[in-house]
Amino acid sequence: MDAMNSFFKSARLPIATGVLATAIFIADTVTRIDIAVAVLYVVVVLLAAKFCSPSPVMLVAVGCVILTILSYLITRSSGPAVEGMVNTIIGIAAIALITPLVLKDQAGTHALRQARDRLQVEVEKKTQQALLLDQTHDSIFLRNMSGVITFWNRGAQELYGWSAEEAVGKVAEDLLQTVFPMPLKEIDGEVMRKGRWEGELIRTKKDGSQAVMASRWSLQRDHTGAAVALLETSNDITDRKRVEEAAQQSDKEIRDVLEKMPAIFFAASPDGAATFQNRAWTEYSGLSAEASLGNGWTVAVHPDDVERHVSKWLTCLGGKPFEDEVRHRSVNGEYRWFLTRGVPLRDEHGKIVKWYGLLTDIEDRKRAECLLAGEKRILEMVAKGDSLPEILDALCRLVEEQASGTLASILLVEGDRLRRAEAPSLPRSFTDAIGETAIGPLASCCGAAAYRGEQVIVEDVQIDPLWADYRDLALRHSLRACWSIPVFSSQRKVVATFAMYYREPRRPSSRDQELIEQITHLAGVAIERKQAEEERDRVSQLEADLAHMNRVSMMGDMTASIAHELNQPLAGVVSNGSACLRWLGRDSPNLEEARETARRIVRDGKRAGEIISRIRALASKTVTPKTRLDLNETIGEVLALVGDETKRRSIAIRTEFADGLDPVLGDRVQLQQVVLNIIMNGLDAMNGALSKRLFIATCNIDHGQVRVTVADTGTGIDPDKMEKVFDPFFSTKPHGMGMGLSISRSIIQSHGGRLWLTANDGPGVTTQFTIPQYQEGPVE
Amino acid sequence: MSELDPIIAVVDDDPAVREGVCSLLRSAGLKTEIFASGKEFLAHPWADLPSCLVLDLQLPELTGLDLQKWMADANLEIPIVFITGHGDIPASVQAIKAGAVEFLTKPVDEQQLLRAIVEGVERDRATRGRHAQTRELRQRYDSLTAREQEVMRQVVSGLLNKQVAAELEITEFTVKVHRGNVMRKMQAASLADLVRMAEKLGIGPGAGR
Repeated sequence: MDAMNSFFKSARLPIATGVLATAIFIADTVTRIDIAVAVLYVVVVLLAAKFCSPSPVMLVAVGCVILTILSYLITRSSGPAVEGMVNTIIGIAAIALITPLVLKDQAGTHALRQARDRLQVEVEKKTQQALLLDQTHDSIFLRNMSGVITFWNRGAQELYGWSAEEAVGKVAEDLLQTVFPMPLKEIDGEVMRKGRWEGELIRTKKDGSQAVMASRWSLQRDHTGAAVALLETSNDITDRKRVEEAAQQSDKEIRDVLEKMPAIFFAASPDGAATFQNRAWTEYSGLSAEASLGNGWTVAVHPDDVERHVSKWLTCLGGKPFEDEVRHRSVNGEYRWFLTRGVPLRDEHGKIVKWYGLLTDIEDRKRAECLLAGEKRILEMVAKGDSLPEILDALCRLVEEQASGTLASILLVEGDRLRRAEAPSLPRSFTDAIGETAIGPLASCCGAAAYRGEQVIVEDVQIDPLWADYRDLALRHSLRACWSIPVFSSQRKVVATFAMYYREPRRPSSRDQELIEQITHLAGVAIERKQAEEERDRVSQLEADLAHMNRVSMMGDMTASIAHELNQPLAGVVSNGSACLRWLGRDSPNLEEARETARRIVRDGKRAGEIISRIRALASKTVTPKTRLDLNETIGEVLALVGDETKRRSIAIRTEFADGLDPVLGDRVQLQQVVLNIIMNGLDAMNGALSKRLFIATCNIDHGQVRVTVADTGTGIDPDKMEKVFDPFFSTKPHGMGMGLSISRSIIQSHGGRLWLTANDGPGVTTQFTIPQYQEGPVE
Repeated sequence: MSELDPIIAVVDDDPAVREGVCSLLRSAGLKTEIFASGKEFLAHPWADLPSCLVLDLQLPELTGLDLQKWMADANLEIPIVFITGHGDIPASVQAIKAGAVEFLTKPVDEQQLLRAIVEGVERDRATRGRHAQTRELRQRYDSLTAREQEVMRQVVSGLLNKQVAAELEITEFTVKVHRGNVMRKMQAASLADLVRMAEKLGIGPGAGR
């Protein structure tokens, strides 16, 4: 039905047109109206144009012309010819006139319709797009060239707060209170020129909050190329912006920190070339930032360190964290110790992209370490027994190492004068010229310090009265400042003065004072200890000399005995030698016997050699070191020497040597001297005695001691003289030196033992001494 | 060497010396015995062989001189060659006086020592011969009765038979019988012979044996 309806609807106009054309033909042909009815065909053409395309219209027009001519031909016989012809011509002219017009009009209308259809498609497309755009989260709106919003997607609604109904029709920039990053004119210019623009805008949302938008505009043109609208897409980048700003801020802060931190920071490329140094570096080294780049910084490394440091740095570039201690030159030429640490920064593949590093000034720590090490070294020298000049020299050098620019000197107190001890760096001509100095309030810088017992700081030699005498000398050697500090012993006695010279006027800093404090303390310890040691050495040398005298004198007394002792093995040698010759000289030489005798010759010869070396040791002046000794053996050797003497004097010796006697730590010669002294005393005491027996025993006793007992049956000693025998030069013998027992006692005491005498119940005395047994391990 | 070869005793407390001397003597073809002390030497059972003693003067406890004296007291007449570490003149005089063969100082000269030892051995041989004679006489003497020994002592002291009889308070005849027995048992050819024998035996008037 509908199709039928629409058919009728669409066919209505052509039918009407046909009817009309027929009516007009009839009227034209039948009626005798003197008017040009044919003109009405124009209407037919017009109507045809309504529903026909141009070509059928032309056919309709031609048809109308034919109908007109036909009507004329039909009517010509019955009417005036001329009039009919004129009317016909008018009609044809009208049709001919109107048809092109109609056709033209029809073409225009057609074009119009087409345009309308296209627009329709366009609109549909746009709507489709808008629907799509609605789906995106981006905020998108369209505004026409007057700025009026024509489209507003859901993203825009979400972003700005206004709904599409609220926004469409409003002027965009009024609604959004946009703040542009540049004059709007420029933006417009760019949009028109390039068709697009991108930038950041600040806009106010519906709730009044401001937001930063990243906005992209694109110009929409119609098919003629005329700008019709601006499509605007925006994202809220406020948060990102904030993060970026924060990041920038923190970057800046980090840079500020790096620049301003008190440590030196650097960055380097993977090949080790410096790419950045902070201000601390440029300020410290005095090198410009540019000059320090690459390997420029190495010019500031101490020449002694540079090779090691750089090669270590280059080795570490493989990826090991870098750490090294190195001296860098400061802007004023002073070298300070730094701890340089570097770590690599790697990308996600583990490839090193950069190095970061830090230089920490460890000069103070290093100095403290050096000072400590120096102190330790000096104390070791003291303990090791190095000579005082060596120790003081080391001390001066330690100070000079610690306080750069200083020239140290130490003067020792000798009576009321100061004697030059050590000054390794002061010019010789200077110290020689000063020589010895008197101690007095105004004597000199050092003399005054020693006199007052306090520091004397001469800041400038040029003006200080204390330097009146030596001013020219000092200035000639370009010495300008001198600080003298007394060195005290533990009893607060000034034992020396310590002086620090400088080539420029100067006062001690607090660090200098600390150094002075430590050095003078150390000097005091060293000097006191060494002086005590020297005194002790002198005394012990004296004792050693006396002991030697005692030994030599005893040896003199024992010459006969010693000769006999030596003669025995020689006798053996001679007898065996003769025998050997005989065995060999036989008709059939007895080689076995000869060999045996030769073996005995060797044995006896060795024994003679041993005796001689024992005697030489006893007679020797040199001090032998203490060793682990078996006292039984040690005493046995002495008995061998006195054996002949006791035989000659018909003295019976009985020994009772303990089995498993603990060893002792001792000086063999000294202990033999003691035993010899005691035995000789015993032998002497038994001259003319009725019973002549000497008893010698050794045994272990409590407290890790070994005891030696020598008892004689001699004349004995008066009880009141029992302790006097230990006094030097006291003797009960007519020709005695009176040193034997005194020396023996001091020897035993130096071994940590005790020596004493007791009267026997019967005749004679018993002499005993104890010595601590040998202890494994280090011995003092 | 035979059983009757001399044995040389070496006494020295120093092994070097005694071994050296010993070796020397052995190389000279002598038999040796070594001792470290006088006591050790004395404790040794001494074979009745010709011998000689090489003795150190300075021995502990019992010195060489002490030992010499002790031996003399014990009638141990072994010839002694002293060796000493030092030429101690008083000691050497004493030793020689007491009959030492030689007094040598160490180191001992080989020739001197051997010569001294040879001399000592010779001396010992002679002494031994003498002693053997004495022993024979002693045996004869011991075979006498107590009365005969008494008569012999009186006779050799020069008393007449009559005097002897008076002394012993026996008859003169009895004396004659005893005297005859004595002369026979002692194998004495004459009174002079008997007197010489008595002398060797050390028999005098009043002597115990």
